[in-house]
Amino acid sequence: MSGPATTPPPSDRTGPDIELLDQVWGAKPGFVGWLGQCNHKAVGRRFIFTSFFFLMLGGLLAMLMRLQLIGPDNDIMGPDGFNQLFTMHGTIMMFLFVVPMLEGFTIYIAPLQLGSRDMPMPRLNAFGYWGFLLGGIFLLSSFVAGAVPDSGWFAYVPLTGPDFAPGANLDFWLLGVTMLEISGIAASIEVVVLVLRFRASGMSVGRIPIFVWSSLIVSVMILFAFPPLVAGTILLELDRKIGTVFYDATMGGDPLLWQHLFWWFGHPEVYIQLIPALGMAASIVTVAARRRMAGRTAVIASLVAIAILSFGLWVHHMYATGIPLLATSLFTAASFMIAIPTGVIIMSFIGTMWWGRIRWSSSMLYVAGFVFVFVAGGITGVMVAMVPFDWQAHDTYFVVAHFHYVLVGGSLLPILGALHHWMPKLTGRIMSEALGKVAFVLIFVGFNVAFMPQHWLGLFGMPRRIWTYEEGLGWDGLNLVSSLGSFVMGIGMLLFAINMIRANWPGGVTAPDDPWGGDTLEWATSSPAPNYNFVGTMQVASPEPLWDELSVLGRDHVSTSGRTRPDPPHETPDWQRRLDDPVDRLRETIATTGLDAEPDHIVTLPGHSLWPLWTAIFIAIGLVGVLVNSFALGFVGLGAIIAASATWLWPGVE
Amino acid sequence: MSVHRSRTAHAVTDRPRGLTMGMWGAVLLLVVLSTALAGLAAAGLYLHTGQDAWPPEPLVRPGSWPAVFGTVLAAAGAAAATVANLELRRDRRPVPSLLLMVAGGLLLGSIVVLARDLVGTDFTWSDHAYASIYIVNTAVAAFFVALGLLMVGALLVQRLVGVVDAGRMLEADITVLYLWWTVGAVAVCLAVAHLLPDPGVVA
Repeated sequence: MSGPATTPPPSDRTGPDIELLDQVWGAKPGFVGWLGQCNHKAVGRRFIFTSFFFLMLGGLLAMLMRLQLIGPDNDIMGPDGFNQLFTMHGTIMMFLFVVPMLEGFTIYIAPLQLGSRDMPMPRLNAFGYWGFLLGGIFLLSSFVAGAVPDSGWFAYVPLTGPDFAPGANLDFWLLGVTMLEISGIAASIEVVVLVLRFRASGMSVGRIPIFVWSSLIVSVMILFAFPPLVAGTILLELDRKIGTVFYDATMGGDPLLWQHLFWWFGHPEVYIQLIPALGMAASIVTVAARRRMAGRTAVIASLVAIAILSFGLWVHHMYATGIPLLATSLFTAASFMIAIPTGVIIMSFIGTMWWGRIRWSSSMLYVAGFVFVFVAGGITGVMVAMVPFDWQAHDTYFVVAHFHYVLVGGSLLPILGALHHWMPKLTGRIMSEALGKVAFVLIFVGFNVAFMPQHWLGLFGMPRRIWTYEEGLGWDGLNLVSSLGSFVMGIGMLLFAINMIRANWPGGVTAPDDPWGGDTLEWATSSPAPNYNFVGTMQVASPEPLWDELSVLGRDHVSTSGRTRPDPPHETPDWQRRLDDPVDRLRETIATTGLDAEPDHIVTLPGHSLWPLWTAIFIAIGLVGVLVNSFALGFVGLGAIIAASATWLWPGVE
Repeated sequence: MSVHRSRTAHAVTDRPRGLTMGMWGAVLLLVVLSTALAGLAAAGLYLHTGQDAWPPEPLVRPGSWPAVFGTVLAAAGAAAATVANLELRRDRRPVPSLLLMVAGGLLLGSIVVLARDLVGTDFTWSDHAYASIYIVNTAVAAFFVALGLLMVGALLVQRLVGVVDAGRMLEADITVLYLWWTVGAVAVCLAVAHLLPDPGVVA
């Protein structure tokens, strides 16, 4: 895996037309061309950087909350403002940051790791982004309208029903979240097809990179987890808008129905946020430790096991609702069981680090931080999985501390590491390691100072979601420490953002094609990846194709700085010429068989299109119609959606 | 749909396998719709659990014949569209178009029957959870059939202008797949609305 290439890869081709390839796979010129981009890299970048903005916004709201709680009897804001802040903080982090960020990485990185030229449904890809963006704008416009959602990110009925939440606050939440869920589903559909059919020749199921495995698993989970929430939110919106009584206990409905539908989505959602982050961490630790993943097959099997088990855990959020004891016992057992595959993964990570030669890059520091923080969150998770303990800790700051250890450890830290790790591929720039390490220390220390004391606050009886507290309850000092820690973490996040902006500012450090000595195919192409991703024959012979001597990487277009070795002798299939010399100016790529990844057929993909954007806009118009009780506007939106979909799907891409 | 009948898929082996990208997308979309439908059906079953009477007095259970008739019409529409699809594969004219018109008429009939059932009930959706379930499930069933009608209409237009033929079957195959899925979805929706027993009667 080392040593510069001295000879170009042997091939009998006359050479691809790189300029033509670049034109065919590139965007149309001008602003309209930019809007109509469907290429996975453009869409992936948009997801990543938009969701990073939302991360910073959600973090700002968190610090405002900690400012309010820094001392007793504080009155920086009132209870209504505090309710709005914790609702929007949770909503932004869950729906506008973590899931879209992970989708963005999947959309950008997975096709590159698979050796593909694009996603199988580029316009659906673009629609997913526009739906996400407009859903986010819709939710945030509640600040402008003075009707910010204020019932928590889980929107429990009856507090969110028409009697107790008569304003438009919850309508913003329900409609916005529905749009975001549709966006997530759209992205997941194409990821499933991508992984099943768009792999490099020879990349059999056993050779799929772990990050792609994690993306596939999560995409399948989303197909089964998100739709019930869409159904639940529609039923709640019907209760609120037209007076159905699905959740009204006085009329034969049941508020607990909402909790079942919500946590049917909500608990797998936790693992939907965790599993791709585990995949990212696995990619980073493999490269940083410079050895193959220890127990790779066991890690993949554990990811699958976590995904399956996660659908059987939702009631552990409902222990305090009067669920029969037998049912709670079963869910306790299921909650314990999920610790087993999680433990296997953590041990594999530790083993990889133990037996590797670790290069302590910023991204690796985030992975090490993830292992520590996530294990701590997992241990408290086992504690709250026990019914007697949960009844004591329920709705206290202990639970707040627990899920922040799980989510910050299991999602945020790997995501920050992944931004360091893959920034060269995303933008062609490399982030400062020195600044990155300082930011890591501030984030890691700040986080633990902020959230570790909250365990004790919970055990001392401090309920979550309270906007202030009286002096003398024994909570003052711990709250002060917690708030100061959150500010330190905030400074760390600000440094991280500055590092990212600085790296991508004109004059920033240009990244080589393979700065870390990577093992997977994204490091076989230029930084940033060109419009067409790869040229030439790709034949994968192992899960780490850049580290073996047998895989053919087709690196005709990569600058010499990116080459680590020449390709072994190989034959170029006839169909490869058609892909590398697109004389018909069609975006064509090869589809492979599901299990063995044998070349099967060439697919023509659609290119520039504004219809995904228009469709998303019309959905937003329909939602605004529902929001303002204008059924005329709602029906206009519905009609426009149908017309736009029909135009979008009209045959003729060929 | 196999890659043999697509203009955007070009086999590189003698025996290409699997579905086209469009068909994959359609299948997964139906998985998503099925999951949402499962959520809706689970809501109905959950609310029915623990009720003393279903429906409670003074609500009266409407007759189930409109639901049965609506489902049969939807199934007949799907069958007509399937035959149209088979004729289209043989590139016959004008039989596929005529059959699509028949399918559209049957689906429209299904929508009318379900809509009349909704209008004819003696209760409103705010009277009880039973009424909410009955009306929403019936409306959702009609909505699914209406989507199928739109797809049949679009396919008919595409056939008439010549963009769908034996060499380009994706739209025709997806329409038939969706219509048969709709038959099942309508049956589930209406079963939840009509077939959940009255606990008092069962006891």
